[in-house]
Amino acid sequence: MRKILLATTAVVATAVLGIADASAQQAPTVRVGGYFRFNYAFTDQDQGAGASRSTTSLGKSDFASDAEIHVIVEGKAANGISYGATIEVQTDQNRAAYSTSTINGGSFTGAAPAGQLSANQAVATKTALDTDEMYVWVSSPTAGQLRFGDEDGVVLGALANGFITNFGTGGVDGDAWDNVVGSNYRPAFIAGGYLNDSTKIVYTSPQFFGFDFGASFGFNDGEGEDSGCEIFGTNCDRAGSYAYGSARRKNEVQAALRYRGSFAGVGLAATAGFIGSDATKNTNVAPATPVGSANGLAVGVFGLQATAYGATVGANYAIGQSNAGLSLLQDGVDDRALNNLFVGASYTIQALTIGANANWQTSAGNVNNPAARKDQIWSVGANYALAPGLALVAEYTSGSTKEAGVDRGQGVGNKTEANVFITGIRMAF
Amino acid sequence: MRKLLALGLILPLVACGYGRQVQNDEYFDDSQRARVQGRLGGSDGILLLGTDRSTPQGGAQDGGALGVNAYLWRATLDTLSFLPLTSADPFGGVIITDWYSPPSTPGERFRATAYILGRQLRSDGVRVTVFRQEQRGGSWVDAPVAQSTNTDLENQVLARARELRSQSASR
Repeated sequence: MRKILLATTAVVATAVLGIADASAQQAPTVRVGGYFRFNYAFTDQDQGAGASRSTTSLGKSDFASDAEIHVIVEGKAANGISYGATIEVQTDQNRAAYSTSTINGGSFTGAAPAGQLSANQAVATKTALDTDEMYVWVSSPTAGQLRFGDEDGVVLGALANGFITNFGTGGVDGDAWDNVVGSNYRPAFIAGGYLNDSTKIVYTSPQFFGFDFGASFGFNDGEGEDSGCEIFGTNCDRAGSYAYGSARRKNEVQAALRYRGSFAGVGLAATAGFIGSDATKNTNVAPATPVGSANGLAVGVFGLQATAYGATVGANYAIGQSNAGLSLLQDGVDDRALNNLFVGASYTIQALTIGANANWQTSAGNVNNPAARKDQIWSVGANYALAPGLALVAEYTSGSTKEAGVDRGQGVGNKTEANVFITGIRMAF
Repeated sequence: MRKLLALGLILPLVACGYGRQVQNDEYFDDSQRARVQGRLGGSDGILLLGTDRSTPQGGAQDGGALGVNAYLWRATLDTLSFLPLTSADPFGGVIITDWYSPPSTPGERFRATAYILGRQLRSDGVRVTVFRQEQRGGSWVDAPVAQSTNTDLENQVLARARELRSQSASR
């Protein structure tokens, strides 16, 4: 499969780079763009019950800031080829403000003990910068565009559709979950950019009669430079198997077809796509840990949205072989398919945009438990543009997660819930 | 696998095709920055190096750095692109073309003047006036133009503007 994609990529690369038509050359430009936001968040979340209840309790109010810096390079060669690069630097979603010296007396360097943070999380500060997407691209008017680097694939990236997030901070896919502590208290969902920005090659076609299509391929789910490890282990980008740890995606392939058109003043856009992958193999066959290997992803994604008179409505449906939130589905007694529905609507009048969205997801959850995991989120919000690039936002988001027979923090079979109100200001230049 | 093989067969054909080039801002962008409408200063980032040739990003409805509606402005330029341009003032919203004589009728020539009347995308936001001359006795003399010609051109501009708006909104 990957040979096919690489071969087709080479064909297109030849076509893109081989164009010789005369065209106006444009010297490259370098731009710096940025984003900053400041939020007040009132977070009312469950904090455990019974044996899961922590001895540390949480307050409800907090301020939080976030920023991005984008470097954007664009140019056009005399033969008509456009080219460029984008490097996005961000303050990442670093949840831990601990140093290594505060955990296990400073000896904490490896995998996390049960219930504790991983080494990467432990050394992270909430103010650290890292790269988000970074890629170089070349494009021709007739052959399409190739991108090389760290970014989303075509299904939940370039050609994604149906995710209405242009109000508040994004609703279901907004800032609410930055404020909720504990992965058990954050419901799973699927939205644009939900898979990580693994290093990959992306091809997108020109538009023909309203249709364009694309495909992407990455050898694994590793981002950034280098191998990801210094000793052989599951952290290595090229990891092929593991004995203790988690399965990772290998040979991730995405393909999507998008249509955009206008009918009687209504703009329509639709996307159908497929996300597939292999998975690293579990070599741990000890009887005490009868855990099988994971299955690769095989998920179909379908998005549709319509825009008219300032209103936009959309929906995105994903179904296929995956566990919650497009994580790999481990072998177990419960191998049900992932089902995810995202719906949203927004309306813009003058400087005000209001909207709402929601997400429902069922998945296997704990594969050794026969019941389904159910996650749901809904959100309403608004933003008001004080000036182009400067907006006030307000949003309320409520989410819950539950799996019968499993303790997700509030006792076996009970629902875990988090409700977040956010108001803040954000700007972009 | 079969789908990928089919894709592999299609891709080389694309290289010979006649599709429209998809611009980068027509792709979904999941960055937080992309969720903010418009840009402070009107342009997409601060230009550090090179000459700014881009159209304004974000805030396209009100034209960003343009003085008039960006969709109407681009649509008018597109519609009148068959005529040689004499001047285009994006702040005043005035486009003036030079005389153009169609090869099929060398005895007559046309020029057009277009006014974009504001920052809103409205059906009465553009006025196009076409002038026509005929060659008589070796000199050009003014000739009447059907009123429907102006209206037809305005309708073409509005249709193109609506198309641009729909493309932008569906991103």
